[in-house]
Amino acid sequence: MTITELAPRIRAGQLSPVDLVDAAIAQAERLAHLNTFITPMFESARSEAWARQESIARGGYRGPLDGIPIGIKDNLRIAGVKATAGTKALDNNVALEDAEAVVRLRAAGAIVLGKENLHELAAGGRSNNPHYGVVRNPWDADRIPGGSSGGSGANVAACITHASLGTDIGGSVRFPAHCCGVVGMKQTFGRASQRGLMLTSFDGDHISPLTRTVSDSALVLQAYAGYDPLDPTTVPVPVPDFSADLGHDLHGVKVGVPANFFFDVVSEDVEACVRAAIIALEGLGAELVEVRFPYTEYARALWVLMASEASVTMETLLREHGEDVSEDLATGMLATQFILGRDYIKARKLQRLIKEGFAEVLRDVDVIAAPVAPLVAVSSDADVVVIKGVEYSLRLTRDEVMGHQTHLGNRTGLPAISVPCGFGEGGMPVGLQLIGRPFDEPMLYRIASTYEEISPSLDALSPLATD
Amino acid sequence: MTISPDTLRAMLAEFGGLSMTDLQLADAAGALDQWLGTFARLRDLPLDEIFPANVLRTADGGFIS
Repeated sequence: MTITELAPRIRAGQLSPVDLVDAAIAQAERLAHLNTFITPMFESARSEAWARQESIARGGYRGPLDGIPIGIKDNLRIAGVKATAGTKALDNNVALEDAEAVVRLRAAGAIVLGKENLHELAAGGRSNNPHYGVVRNPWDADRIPGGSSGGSGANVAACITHASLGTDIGGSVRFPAHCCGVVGMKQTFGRASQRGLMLTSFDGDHISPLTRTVSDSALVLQAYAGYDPLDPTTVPVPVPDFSADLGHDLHGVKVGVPANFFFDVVSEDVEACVRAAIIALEGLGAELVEVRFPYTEYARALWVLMASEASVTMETLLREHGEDVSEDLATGMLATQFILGRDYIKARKLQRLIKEGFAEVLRDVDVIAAPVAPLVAVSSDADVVVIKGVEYSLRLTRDEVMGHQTHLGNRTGLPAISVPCGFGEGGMPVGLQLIGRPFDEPMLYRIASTYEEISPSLDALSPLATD
Repeated sequence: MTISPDTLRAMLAEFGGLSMTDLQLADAAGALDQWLGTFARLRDLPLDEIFPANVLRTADGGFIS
């Protein structure tokens, strides 16, 4: 059941948070080989479930997230619980307080089931964590769940958690959503607080939800979005009702279909699914408009921005605990030593030009429709992928090709959602990415929810979730 | 440009406990070449005469017209 379906039953006393948490724990233990948790919090989850159950029985129902088991990626802080960010170097790092997003979700009654596994220091897209175990995809345990929020995506797809909170700095919520056949929403930068996130990027990091449905995503984001006076990256704009336009028809909506960049690096099976989804949007009443993005042929150079920021945010960790860090991270840190100040500033200039290009496009269309990633989830052992005859290495380069279609959502700050749109090679899920105007998450939720009802992925569950 | 293993070892020494075997360093050198290629392409990008919309253009002589 989805959160949307569970909520009225919990409110009416027909379903118990204790039973929900027990079922989630049983599922987590049955699927422990997926390595989705670094720190399970089953005992505290049971205690919280009892507290919520008693409160609800006394009339203290808090809303649709009350009594719902959720997961939290392990680069987000929870008081009294270690926050490793997926690296052995932080295995003894115990947080003193909850991240602000966690505070708000707990205030809404959500129950934290555990801290979720991820790609080490959120610095990659495979979640092949060398310290806490390789995270497995519930659709095919020999494949990656995507990353860096791999444990979060896998938990939702495996029906262990009803929602998980991940982080997205280059695609790290949308890519696992694509790989695991779930919904991943990266909201507008500034829509929600970053406080309590172990940052890699000062202006590209987002705390974002993964859920099984679009309506669930709207409920989760609703609970923690909004200005945080202690986080200067947040913007004091009103938070709309993200669920208000769910399922509305698409007449009058203009969908931009990219003629360049987004479909340049994509496999045939993914492209077929995404283009079919775009045609389906037209069938739902939307008008399709071909759009072009200037300067995106240089977009790969923007990875310099994130690499530069990581060199600063990770430097102390690497200096003090270098022996506990993987070869991948060590190589990445070495590379950043060659970035000059003028390189960073030139990348910022390019970023500005690309942002202006997106703004021009979004003046004329309501949303841009594109693939989430070039490929379906690859094998966990893959070192190289071939896309349209070109070979791309996945080792020691932060597997950046996997972020080809997503990272501009972070560099522009625009909201972007991944919604399942069918299946590709090996029966693996494929996601449709919708990119919208600043703070126009309601439009993304409207289009994604209406499309979801006719998607080939509707009601599909991962094989391991239902075994 | 390829970074020599000796240079990489010296750079790693700056990071305290970071260490890599000779094999790992050889591997890293290949990956670093890709990164250096990215930086070189960034430096070569023909953006000198292209300005974002918010930047004032000055006429010849440096005066705003």
